[in-house]
Parts: sequence; C-alpha cells; structure tokens
Amino acid sequence: MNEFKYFSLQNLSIGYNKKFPILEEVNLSLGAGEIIAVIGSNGSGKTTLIKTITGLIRELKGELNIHTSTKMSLVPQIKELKLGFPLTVEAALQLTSNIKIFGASDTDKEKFANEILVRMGIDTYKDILIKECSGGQLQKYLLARSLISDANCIFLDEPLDALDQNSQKEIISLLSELTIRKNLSFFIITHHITEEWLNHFSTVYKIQGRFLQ
Amino acid sequence: MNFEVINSFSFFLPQLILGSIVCILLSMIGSFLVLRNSSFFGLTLAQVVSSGVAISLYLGIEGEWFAIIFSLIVISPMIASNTKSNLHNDTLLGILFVFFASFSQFLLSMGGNVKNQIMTAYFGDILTNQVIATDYHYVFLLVSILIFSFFFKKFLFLSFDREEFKIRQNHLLFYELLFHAIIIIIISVAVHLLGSFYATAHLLVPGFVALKMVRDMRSLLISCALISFISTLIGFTISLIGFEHSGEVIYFPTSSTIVVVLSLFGLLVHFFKKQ
Repeated sequence: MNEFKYFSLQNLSIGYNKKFPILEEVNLSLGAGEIIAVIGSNGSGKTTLIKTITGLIRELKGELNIHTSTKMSLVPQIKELKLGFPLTVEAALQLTSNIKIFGASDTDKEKFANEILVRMGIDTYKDILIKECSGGQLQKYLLARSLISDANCIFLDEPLDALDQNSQKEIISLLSELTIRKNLSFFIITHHITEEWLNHFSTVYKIQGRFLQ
Repeated sequence: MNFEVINSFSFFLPQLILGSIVCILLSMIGSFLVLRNSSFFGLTLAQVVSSGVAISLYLGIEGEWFAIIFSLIVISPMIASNTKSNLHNDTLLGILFVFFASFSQFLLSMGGNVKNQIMTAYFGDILTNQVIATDYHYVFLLVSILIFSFFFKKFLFLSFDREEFKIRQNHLLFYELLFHAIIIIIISVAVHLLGSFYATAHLLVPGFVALKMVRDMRSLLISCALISFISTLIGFTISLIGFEHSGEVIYFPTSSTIVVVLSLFGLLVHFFKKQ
C-alpha cells in the first residue's frame, strides 16, 4: 500500500558536520491529518531536525522525500523573531498572508482565517507592536501566522512553552480539531509532554542519545 | 560669517535636487539594513562599491556598470552562503572592509589625476564633484525605485523572517540578490556622484533615527526620507556660509557637512529619545 505522506525520512543523519552527526538513522513520516511529536532535552537536535526537514539545513546522509503537494510553514521559537520591526500584530500577519484579515470575509479562506484569529484572541491585541507583546501573545501570533497560511504541513518548535496551562489545552485542542476539519498535519517538537495530550498525537518519538525511538 | 555664496543658492539647486533624490532612496532602502541588523554589512557594501568605483575610475571605465557588477560578484558568495547556513558573517565583513579600504589606498598611491578622482569617490562633494549626473543615472535610480516598490512586501517578509520566507517561497537567493542589487545600484550612483561617506551615512543613520520614533513601516519610510532631506538641506546651507578663520574665509565641504549634521542628529535622538 502506498499511503500518502507529506514527507518521509529514511535513515537520515542530521547535523552540521558529517563526522559528528547530531541524530542518526532517523526514520519517520507525516501523513495528512496527523500530529507527530518529538520529545527531547535541550540540545538533543530537535530544532536541527525541523530545520533539516524544512530545507533550512542540508541533511548529512540518508533520504528526505517531500511530496510535491506539501506546503510547509514553521512556528519558530519566540527568540527567533526580529522584534525591532515597526509592525503591529495585524501588519505582521498581513505581511506573510495573501488574504484579507480582520475585515469583511469574502472567501472561505478569509472566513477561516478570521475565525482562527478570533478564537485565539488575537483580535484583542492586533493593534499593538510585536515588540510590545507578551511571550504568550507572540507565541499565539506565530502559530496563527502558520495556521492562516496556505501550509498543510506545519512545524512547531516548542510551541507551548510561553503559554499558560489553559492556553496550552486550547491550542492542542485546536490543532487536533484542524487535523480533522482541514486535514492539516503538525510536527511538534518539545522537551516535555503531559499525559492528557498524548491522545491527540498520532505518534510520539523520543530522542535518546543520537537516535529517535 | 560670509553670506555671499548663499545668495547664489539657486545656482546650486540642481546639485541639491540630485543629492536629495539619492539620499532619500538610500535612507529608505538603508532602513531595511538597519532592521535586518545588517548595518555592518551596509558599511562593508559601501566600501566594496567605493572600491569598484575607484577601480573603474583608475581603468578609465565610464559609468557605474563596472562598480555594480564588481560589487555583485564580491558579495554574491556571501549572500549565497548566508542563505544556506544563516551564519553570522561579521568577521568576514570586517576582513572585506579592511581589504577594500587598503586596496583603494593602493589605487590612491598612483597619484595624479587618478588620485583626485579616487579621492572624489571617497570624500566626493556635491558642489565640487566633477562627475555630472547623466540621464542613465536617473534611469538607474528610477528602475531601482520601481523594483523596490514592486517587491516591497517580499523584501519586507524576507527581512522580517528569512527562514519562514525560504520555507514558504523557495526563491530566497533570487530575492536576496535582487534586494542587494538594488542597494548596490543606488550606492554606486551615490558614490560616483556624491562620495562614499555621504552614501554610507544616508544608508544607515536615517533608519536608525526613524526607528526610534515610528510605529509602522509607512511612517518609517516617510521619516527616513524627511530626515535625509532636511539634513541635506541644512548641511548644504551651512556649507554655503563662509567662516572667517586666520584671516581667511573658509567653506566647509558640502557632503561632509551634510554627513556631520545627519550623524549629530542621529546621536542626539539616540541619547535623548527614549522608546
């Protein structure tokens, strides 16, 4: 059976130096409507793994196959954001989006985008500068930016760290809902995970040393 | 103080207009370099372009083509490597900066008319510069404005979040090269006509100052243009006033006066304006 996958990794080695790979023999794939989580401690290679799959870093060895229909987006860690830009949350969202937001919705895409923005509470702080946002607000902005894009395969780099427990629950539920409603797929890396989230994930991998288990 | 020259202000109007157009463009595109934390890159780039202009003057090649192509060839590998690995290249920039500064000094040592022309490329003066703006200078500037305006959103996205841009658009290198090509073209014209220091100052200072005062991109660009234009006007006017020194009437060099006014304004705002 040739099941559809947005991407698949076979015996992939990742890192910055062939002699010293950070992770080796990585085998995994992400299908439509799935959520995969990778858990690992700081410095274990989680972010490097995401950057390799998204093409920001070259793989050292092995096969990385991306399906032609795959449209990726990355929710980076907040520290990666350039906060010096004079952009409000609305302007920053509009910059990376091809649709009208926070206005009258003419298309299904616009309706969906505005629904997401309201559900995540972003409409309440859309007029403040991104540098004036709290950590939680920035985290939600980054996630919303990817959700309202054309992407069908979204990578999240420790997306829940800056959020309180209630927000964490809401976000996980929202992601889970979108896998069914919109057939979106998510690849989450985190250094911790709670029991109650486990049933939302299709597969959970753990980084042990240089290997994924 | 002697105000004789200032009475013939209208005589210098073409230089003022040209200087203003160039500085406004430099300041607007330069604000992107400030936003990208690439000021040192801008400084080095201006140095590379200046060397390109100096070499073309030395070889007797007319126009900016040589300087533009030379600069693109020099910086393209840096842009390409940065695109792949996103490494910080400050040290490499420093090495390039001192190399091209020293290389230009080699050319200066040739002496004669070449020396004068190369001095002009560095410290060029709106009033005394012998290089006259031609139609193709204006075409260069116009094309740069059009490309910059057309791809404004892409350049902003790319500058704001380079990684997300690459993941979504997959033409990062093309847009990076296009963006830097525009900067190089504007700097080349500026260096050729107005000198390296003038170009560098307008590339970096207005964006730095304006960012402390604005809350959106449109205001940033308008403020950059205004800061550049007003500084140019003030510096230009001061340079037309004669000052008595040791029994002689002296005039400050125009481009340098403008740079001093602009830089002082930048420092004042930095120290007194709290964000």
